[in-house]
Amino acid sequence: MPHWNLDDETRDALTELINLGVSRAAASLSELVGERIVLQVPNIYLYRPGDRTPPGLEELSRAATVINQVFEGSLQGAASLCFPADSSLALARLLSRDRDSSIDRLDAELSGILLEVGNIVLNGIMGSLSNSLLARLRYAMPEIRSIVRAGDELGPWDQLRSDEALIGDVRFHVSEQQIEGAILLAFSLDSLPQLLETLSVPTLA
Amino acid sequence: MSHPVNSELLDQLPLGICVFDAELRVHAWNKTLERWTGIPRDELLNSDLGQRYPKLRQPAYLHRLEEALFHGVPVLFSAGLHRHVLDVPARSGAAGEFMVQETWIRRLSGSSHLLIMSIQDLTTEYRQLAELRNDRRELVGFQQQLEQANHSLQASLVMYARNNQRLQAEVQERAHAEDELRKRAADLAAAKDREAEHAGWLEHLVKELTEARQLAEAAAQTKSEFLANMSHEIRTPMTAILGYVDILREPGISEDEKRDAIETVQRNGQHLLAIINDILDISKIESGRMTIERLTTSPRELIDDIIGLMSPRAVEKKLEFKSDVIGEIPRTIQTDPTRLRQILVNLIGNALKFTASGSVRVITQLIPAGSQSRLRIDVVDTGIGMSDQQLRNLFQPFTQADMTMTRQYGGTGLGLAISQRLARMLGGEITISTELGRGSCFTVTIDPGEITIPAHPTAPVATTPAPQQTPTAPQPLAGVRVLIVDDAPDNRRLLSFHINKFGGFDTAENGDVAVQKVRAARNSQPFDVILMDMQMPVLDGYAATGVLRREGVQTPILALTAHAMVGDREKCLNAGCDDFLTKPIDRTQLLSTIIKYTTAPKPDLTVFSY
Repeated sequence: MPHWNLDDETRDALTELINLGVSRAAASLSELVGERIVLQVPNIYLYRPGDRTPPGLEELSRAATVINQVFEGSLQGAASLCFPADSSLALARLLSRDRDSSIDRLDAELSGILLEVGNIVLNGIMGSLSNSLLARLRYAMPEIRSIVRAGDELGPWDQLRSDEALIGDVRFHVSEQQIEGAILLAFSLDSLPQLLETLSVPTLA
Repeated sequence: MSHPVNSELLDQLPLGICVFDAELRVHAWNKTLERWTGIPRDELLNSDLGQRYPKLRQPAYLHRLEEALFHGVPVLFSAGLHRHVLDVPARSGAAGEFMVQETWIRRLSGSSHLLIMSIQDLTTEYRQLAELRNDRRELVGFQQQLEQANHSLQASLVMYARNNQRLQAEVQERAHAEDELRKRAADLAAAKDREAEHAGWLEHLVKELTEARQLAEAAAQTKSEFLANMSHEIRTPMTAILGYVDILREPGISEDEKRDAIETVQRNGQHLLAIINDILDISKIESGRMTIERLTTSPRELIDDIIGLMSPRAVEKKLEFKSDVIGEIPRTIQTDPTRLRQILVNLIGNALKFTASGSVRVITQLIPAGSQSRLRIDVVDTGIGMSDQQLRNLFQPFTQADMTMTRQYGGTGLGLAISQRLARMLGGEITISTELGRGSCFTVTIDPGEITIPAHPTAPVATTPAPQQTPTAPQPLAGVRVLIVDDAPDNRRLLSFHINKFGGFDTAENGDVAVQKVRAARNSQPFDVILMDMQMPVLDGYAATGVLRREGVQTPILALTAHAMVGDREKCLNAGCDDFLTKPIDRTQLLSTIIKYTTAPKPDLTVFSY
């Protein structure tokens, strides 16, 4: 496996790519909740096993609800939408029909709502990426995981921690609501050359 | 373009499965959907699904169907957001209720234009979820109520604890109050007791005061009667004395008449002296100035002396008069022989006085009782006896059994009162048994103190000095010069009369004159004895004696005083006197005392008694 570093040009290209997809996803989320979605600048970095746990994964480990979408094909990796416990519950209740504030935990209905939200957002990103990269991707069925305690399975992220990966980390919050979250993207380095080539980034160190 | 769809496989799934293309034309409709919708597959195949279910043509749905179709992403229409994609009546429940569905749509594997829609009926789950939510709400409500109840309970517990503390404090306070109450009750009871005691004491005091007042009144009455009696008793001999002295002045009276008058004057004078001595004795006893000595005394000798002394009176009245001893009596006892003699003389004298015929017996015995042993002497007569009324007043001072008896029998009426008091001072008492007209028995008991037995004398013992035998032998008193100092001319004359018979004398009417005469005589013919009256005007005997002693005069000074009380003797001796004589002057005692203090008595002088 080639060992390479992420130069500024590549980082910029990737940031722009991810920004595009995330913006489209945020528009879908905004349409759902009826509120403006505020995005932060994507944080792009390489992750190697043994590195100090990067902020994105740190965030992931603190998350209570994670919706994962694993993909493969010309690009391999996973996309995830993460919420802290309060935010996941607040978002699900906001979108539910009766907005019953007495519901204080994610039950089957609220989990279903969050899974669809993740589906919409992650589909937006992946649709954008695959359009931009002309990639043909295959998607597993999305899954939702509730992390009750440290050590609960994180789905694809458990595998990613043992591999080198390119990580995209975008934080957002819903305006006027106490809802925040993160969109995490992980691309296996095996698929990166093709990705970079598609982006017309000239070199790989 | 068609795609082989294994309808048979789809029919076996418990999901509603529909395969359709981009134009929403139906390519497969499995039996589950047939059953749910009631629409036969044949009726729906190749028809427009959007026409049957218009929701699918809405942009939000179309947009996501396009994502699935062009990007191959799975698309979820959750029950929570959509309730259902195909409006299908619920298979159970209320009319008009639609099936709750979770619908996944994704591109059919191996196809680029067909989408497969799988619908899961979640109606039952959602009903259960609704029930669970209700249950949960209720539980939460219960929980809240429980929390509130718990909170209330906690608050109640806190309040209970506080109340308990308050209760404890109240209990302690109450206990304290009860203690206080008990203490107060006890105090009250004690106060009540004290009050009752005080009331009792007051009552007793009032009773005592009343009795004391009655006694005082009675004493005052008795004293008045006594004074009246004494007045009479003193006046009677005085009248005789003065009357017979007048007779003596009469010219021409015979020698017999003269002798008779002199004897009458002497007898009455002695009776008067006896009355005065009795008054002095009772006065000493009553004022507590009578002192008792304890001397080794032989009771047998003492009684024999008294019997001997009083026998002449018994002989005179022809009475049987004897002394008996019952059992063994001590050889010696410890007592005051003078006082015991006084008691017995009084009792025996009374017995002889009040017995006209018969006998007077004196019976002595020892009543042994260890330290409580008593010497008992009974004086038994066959006299007039006494009534109960007479007995009651017998020992009262200043009274007699009957005031009228004094008239008949004479006496001061003080003898028994004095004797009873003396007996008590000797550790015993006098008791009487009597029968009117038959006689009396006067019993005197005394504390014998340390005794010696048997009653045979083996060593010399002190006894009451027997009355001095009447001096009949001449006493030496010649050439003695006596200075008689007295402010009373009669006394000077009387003393001069006595002295003049045997020696020389001079007189002085007060101390000052006496001092001058002693000074004057020192260098010529000094006095051998000075008889010094102690109470005089100008310069009294005490002062005069002091002056003389300070001037170095060694002449014996014999004090003469009418004060016969205890202490007078010491007072005179302290003033410098050598001896003490009480008035009225006993001639014999006077002369023998003078002889005692004169160093060179003349052998040819003789003193005679009357």
